[in-house]
Amino acid sequence: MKYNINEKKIVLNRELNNLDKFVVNFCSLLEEYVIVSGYVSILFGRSRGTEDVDLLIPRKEKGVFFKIFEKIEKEGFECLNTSKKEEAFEMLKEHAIRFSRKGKPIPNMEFKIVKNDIENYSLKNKILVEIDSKKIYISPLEMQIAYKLNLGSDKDLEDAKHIYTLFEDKLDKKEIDRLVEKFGKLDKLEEIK
Amino acid sequence: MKFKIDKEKLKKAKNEKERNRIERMEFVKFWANYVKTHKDKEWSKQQNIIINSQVK
Repeated sequence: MKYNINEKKIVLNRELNNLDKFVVNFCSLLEEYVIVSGYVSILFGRSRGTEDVDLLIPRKEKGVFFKIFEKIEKEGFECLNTSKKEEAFEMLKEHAIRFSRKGKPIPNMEFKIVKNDIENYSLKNKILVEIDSKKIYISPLEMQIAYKLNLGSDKDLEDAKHIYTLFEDKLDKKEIDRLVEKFGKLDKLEEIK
Repeated sequence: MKFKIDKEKLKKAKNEKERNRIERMEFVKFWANYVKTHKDKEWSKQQNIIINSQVK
């Protein structure tokens, strides 16, 4: 695993598992997005599975979203919430919608529109990950850690500890402190060190 | 590379649940260090067994 901080790029030299293949295939249909939360830890070796992968995209005009929706469906995915793109567009204003392979609800992609500064930060500062020559974009590791500490379940703290331990010498510690403080979780940060 | 638990941390545990939590966190650290010090293909072979058994 090689992390080039200046290029914001991590290269993984490993075979794709079935979850990676699902993510890579789905993400290849999108132009601008960032993957956040649990899958990021799994991508870097966390020894657990997941049923969903969280993904953020910037706000889209209705027509643009319809094109994306049609493209996703054409490639063998289905929206688990509705088959109507108009309805999906309206739902996205309120909550995430999920896409999976047709007839296979797990795993699924939890598809969300960027709605706040934290999510916008993740999208703007995304990192490129190359895995077996495939490309995906993930949230910056510092935000990944801070966000997981904020969620706070045992699973989330374990995910944060995995990333922290793995990239300890590459992380921007000041940025982690700043983000974690913003969430008011500095006590949790001590737990994972 | 051996998995050793910090006994001082365990002593601070108030109950079994807390003890279990500490042990899990220690294993997360052990595994992250394993990933850090081994080739991607080596650790991922083990991880893929878990993932591929859950996602077909």
